[in-house]
Amino acid sequence: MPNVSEGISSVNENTQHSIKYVGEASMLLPIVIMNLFLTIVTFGIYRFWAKTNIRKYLWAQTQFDGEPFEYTGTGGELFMGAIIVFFVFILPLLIGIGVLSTNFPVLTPIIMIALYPLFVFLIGVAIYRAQVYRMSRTKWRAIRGAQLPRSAAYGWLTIKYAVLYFISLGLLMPYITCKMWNFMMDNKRFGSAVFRCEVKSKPLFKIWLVTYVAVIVLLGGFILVVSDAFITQNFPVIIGAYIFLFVATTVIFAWFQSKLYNHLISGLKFQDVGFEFDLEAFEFLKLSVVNTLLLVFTLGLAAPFVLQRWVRLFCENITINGQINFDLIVQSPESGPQFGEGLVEAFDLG
Amino acid sequence: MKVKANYCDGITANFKVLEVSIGPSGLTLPSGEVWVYEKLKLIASSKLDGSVTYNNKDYDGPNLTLVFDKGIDDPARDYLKRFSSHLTGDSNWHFVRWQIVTTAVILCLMFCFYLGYPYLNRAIVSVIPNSWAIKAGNLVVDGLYNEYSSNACHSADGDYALEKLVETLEIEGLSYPLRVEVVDHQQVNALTAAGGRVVIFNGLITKATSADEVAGVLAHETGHVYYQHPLQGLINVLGFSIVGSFLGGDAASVAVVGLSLSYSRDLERMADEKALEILQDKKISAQGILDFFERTDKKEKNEIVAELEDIFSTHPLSKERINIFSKHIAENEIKGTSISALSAEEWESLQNICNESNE
Repeated sequence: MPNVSEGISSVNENTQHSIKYVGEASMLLPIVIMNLFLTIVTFGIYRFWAKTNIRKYLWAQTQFDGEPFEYTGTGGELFMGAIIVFFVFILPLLIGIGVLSTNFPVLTPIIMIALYPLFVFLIGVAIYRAQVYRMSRTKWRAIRGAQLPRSAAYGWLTIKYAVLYFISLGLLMPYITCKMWNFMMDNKRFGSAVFRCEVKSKPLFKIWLVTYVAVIVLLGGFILVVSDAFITQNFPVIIGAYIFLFVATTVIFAWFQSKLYNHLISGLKFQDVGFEFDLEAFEFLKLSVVNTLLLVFTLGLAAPFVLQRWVRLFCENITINGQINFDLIVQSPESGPQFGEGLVEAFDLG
Repeated sequence: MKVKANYCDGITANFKVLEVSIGPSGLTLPSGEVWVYEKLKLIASSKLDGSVTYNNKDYDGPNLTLVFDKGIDDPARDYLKRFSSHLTGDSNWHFVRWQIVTTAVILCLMFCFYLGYPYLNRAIVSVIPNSWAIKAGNLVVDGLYNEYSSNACHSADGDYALEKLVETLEIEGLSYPLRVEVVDHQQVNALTAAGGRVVIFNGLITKATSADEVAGVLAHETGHVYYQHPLQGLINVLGFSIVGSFLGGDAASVAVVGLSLSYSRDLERMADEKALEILQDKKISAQGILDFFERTDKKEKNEIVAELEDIFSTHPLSKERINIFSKHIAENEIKGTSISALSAEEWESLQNICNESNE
């Protein structure tokens, strides 16, 4: 550790905290091109390193109080994570299913049914573990983030709420989303400081109900119109109905999602600091449409740029209220897992 | 040249403002300590305000952000750039260099995997119990019969002839006994499943003009059984396809097809060599199998179509195969010394095995 006690002034800021994204498409482009080329050359294996390069860039271009974030993960860690999950989990699972199905063909349908809850559980575990890895590889002012290792609990929550979602025909979605979000955020740390989240689902129910009913009405109307048009072979009406359905559902969901994000992020607390997220539905809609077009017309190659646009939107719409006492935040005791995100790869969760 | 810097010690989240001197070998901190340029790892470079943040490779923790009053055009930033453009993040060469090294390592590992894969495959096959292999073979053949809504052909004389042919070609060192059947289908083909199960399509027997031709094909299939190729093929699917697509995603599909073709051809070559060895040992002429391949080769087809079929075939290229058989005959066989695999009556019974079965 260097000695910096001489000629220095200790600072404890007393200004409005700000988060800013300073990256530009022109800076990201060379990284994307290089990634693409090397991914092709290595028949896709390089994608672990490509993902890391993009993360390093996005993190570095995001500044909190003028200081950049640092992503310390490596492609090798992601690659090893994938290898380990493959040999420890995927391969034994495939062999196990194969052996059981061959020796006890009667059990095959039961095995297949049993796999559904297992996969739901594992998807939950995968999402949570990815956060454990990413938070542990995120630094700001040389202090590590952390996500407490509670992936199994999150996996069980995923099963529980998947059943609830199914039984309630999706009507309990706000309650489920808030509960999952609170669990995820409550277990986040930055150094020794704790994130807290107690988002209530009640304010979201009215919005969700409007969305739910609107979609049902739209679908009902669509089926009526389209079934009549099919009988009379009226193709312009069929095409028009499809376009109308697509546009209307996109607008409705954009409205709902912007409200959802505003509510979820605004319920987050860090030390005594609160967050406010104020995203206009139209702004969200505009960005979603442009991003979708970008992905469609580039066959997915623009994904890093789309990601960048989302990060920028997030940074532009968030406000931080209160003062963080940085002197009270010390280095995190959690160093995180050695390898990461293998399960995410297994389930292709991105 | 001096510049303002924010120093984060990695102990608390606060920072300290320092005045750092930019020198020819590194950044000098107020304490006199020098962070040499070779040890600096660039974390971030902002094009907006020109600030640059570094780690020092000698320490696990602290970082230093140089803040330039005049932003990206600050003279101190330009001065720093003189020592290495990598220091301000204005050159991508450092990044590109590491990516190329990483790629080279990945390619080397892929090549090693490609070279070592056959050995690994054989090692895995050697630990699989025979009972599993037999079960897997039964599954494949039963599935085939279901697909063709057919069963193995049987007739008293035909079964006797087939059994005699199998006994004639049976060799030592097989992991499981040969179980050969004829299925009533017009395809000119034969296949070997795991566990020693061989299925000859009746179309092949119809197309053949002598028992030696069928014997040649059966010797080739016996070669597959000897080396346990069907099991290797199964592991091959797991190895190349699943590992490949898992690690490489969609892009790996192309490589997987190429590698699988190459690997399958190697197995076919081995089976051909074993077939020639068996035929020679049993004193059956390889002229039969040569005639069969020559006749069923793509003579009637357009040359380009034939070439393309060869390229994407799982078997060795036709010309190459014919050359190997011809060379073997020329070098190892003396005219008039070979025996026929079956008598004329037995051959006729084998030809009619499915006709009599249907009756």
